[in-house]
Amino acid sequence: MDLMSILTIIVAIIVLIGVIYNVFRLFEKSKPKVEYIVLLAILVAISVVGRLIGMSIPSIQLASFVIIMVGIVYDGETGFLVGILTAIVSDLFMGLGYWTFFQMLAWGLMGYTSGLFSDKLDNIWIRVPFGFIWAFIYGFITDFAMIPYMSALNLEGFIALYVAAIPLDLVHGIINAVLLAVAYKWFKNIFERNKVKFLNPVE
Amino acid sequence: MNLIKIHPSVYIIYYVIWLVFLFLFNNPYYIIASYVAILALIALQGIRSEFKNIFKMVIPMAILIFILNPLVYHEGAHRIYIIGSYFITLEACTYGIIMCATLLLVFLLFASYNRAVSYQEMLYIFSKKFSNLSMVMVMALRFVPLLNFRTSELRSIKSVDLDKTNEDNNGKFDSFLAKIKDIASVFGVVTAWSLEESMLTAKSMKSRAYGVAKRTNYLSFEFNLIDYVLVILMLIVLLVECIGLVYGYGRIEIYPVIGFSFNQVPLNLFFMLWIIFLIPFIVLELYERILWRNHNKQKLSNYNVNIVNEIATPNLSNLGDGSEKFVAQTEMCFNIDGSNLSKLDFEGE
Repeated sequence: MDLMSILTIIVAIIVLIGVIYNVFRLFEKSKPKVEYIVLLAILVAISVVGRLIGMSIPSIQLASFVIIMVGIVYDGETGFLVGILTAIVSDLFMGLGYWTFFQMLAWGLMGYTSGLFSDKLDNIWIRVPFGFIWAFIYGFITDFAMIPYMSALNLEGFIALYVAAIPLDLVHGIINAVLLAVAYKWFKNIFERNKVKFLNPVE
Repeated sequence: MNLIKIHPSVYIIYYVIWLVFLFLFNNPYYIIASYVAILALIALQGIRSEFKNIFKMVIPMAILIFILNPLVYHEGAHRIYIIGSYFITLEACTYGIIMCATLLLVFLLFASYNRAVSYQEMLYIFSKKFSNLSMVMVMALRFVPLLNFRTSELRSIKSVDLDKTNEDNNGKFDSFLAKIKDIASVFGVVTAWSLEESMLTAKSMKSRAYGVAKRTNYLSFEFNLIDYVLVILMLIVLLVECIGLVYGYGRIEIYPVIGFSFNQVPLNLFFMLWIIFLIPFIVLELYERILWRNHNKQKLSNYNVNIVNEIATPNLSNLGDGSEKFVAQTEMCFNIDGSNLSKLDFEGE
């Protein structure tokens, strides 16, 4: 194997571990309430089930949709944590490996960005492309796990890798877009109700 | 089997070192040695259904790597002309084969890792630093089967659909859309139901004083002599193999000219040490088997001899933690291929 690509992947994984470690440390320091812990657990379980639904067919999954919805309705941090934990917990069912780190990063950022742009994502013409494009960014990040198997770090190899991944990303993107267009209002109501009723009740 | 208690962090160190060296070595002899070891280890640990998934996932990827590499990368001395002036090189093909072998090996390695270290042991290590997060994960792992159960309940309610207008749709696309709608509706109802119930769980936990005192672990491990021995062995191997890599042992030249033939058996210190590194857990598993068999023979010697033959050789493949069952349940609940609905329909009768 090319030494450069091995070093790249090792450095990438070490950086990822550092980032995730610090996020976890921040979460532990914030001394979360019991309600928040249980809420995180159930949201993670929901998106894990959404991923396990289509386990036999690659890239058919509702997990991304759930994570984006969590990011929009709650905040970016919740979205980030749910994304990271979804990757870990679902890989406990499907097979843990070094690729888990990249899935954690991809889903975490997906949740975080949807929290950042939550007020703009109410518009359907922004929301649907957002979900569609994020499917491709997710593919881009997770495909980094395949770098050690490339001959050398050159542009042609990268292009070949991503062209090969396009069909899977396309399916993922279409599912995201359709669900964000159709089921957005419904899931927003469900999450909003939960948020108002239990997390920050209006006096 | 887990008759001899080994600290989970020892396993984790072992598999991480193995993985890193897999990426670094590309000498076929080292790869073959790793294959023999991993296959022996998996056979002793017992094969789960995960194994099938691995092949489903790996083989397309491996074929892709094997085909893409020579097409994209044209360096190397031995050219093979295909059409006109378009050529691929022998070096790129060799590289592709080695990469495929390594890819499959990495997947097998992680399958073996998931078998050796259960998620409870992983959470045990994790919970020392991150107690709240490991609580979240444990609860999520418990909620997944619960959600499956609720989905199957909803399914059985929905199956009592008196006017089955949905199924009369003619077009294929219509039935596809109806299916997606169906999955989404069940999913949404389960989400709403579970969120509501989970808050009751939270209130209940709070009223029972969750978080007041420091939490303790369900499992407990301590570093024994065998753990120290294994860790020291691994550190020695790590050090020596790193020195070997600096001098080029374990790696072969592929580009620009392939510099390897199968006659060059690497009979040196570094290869021997690599083989020694691969052995310990295989020996341990074998030893545990012998212990298990002897124990059963002792215990059952008073009873009928016929029973001994049946029980003394337990079917180890059935000792999995049942994760494949959850997955099968999930797929069944959401009726992915439509064939399982009838089973649920007639369950009540």
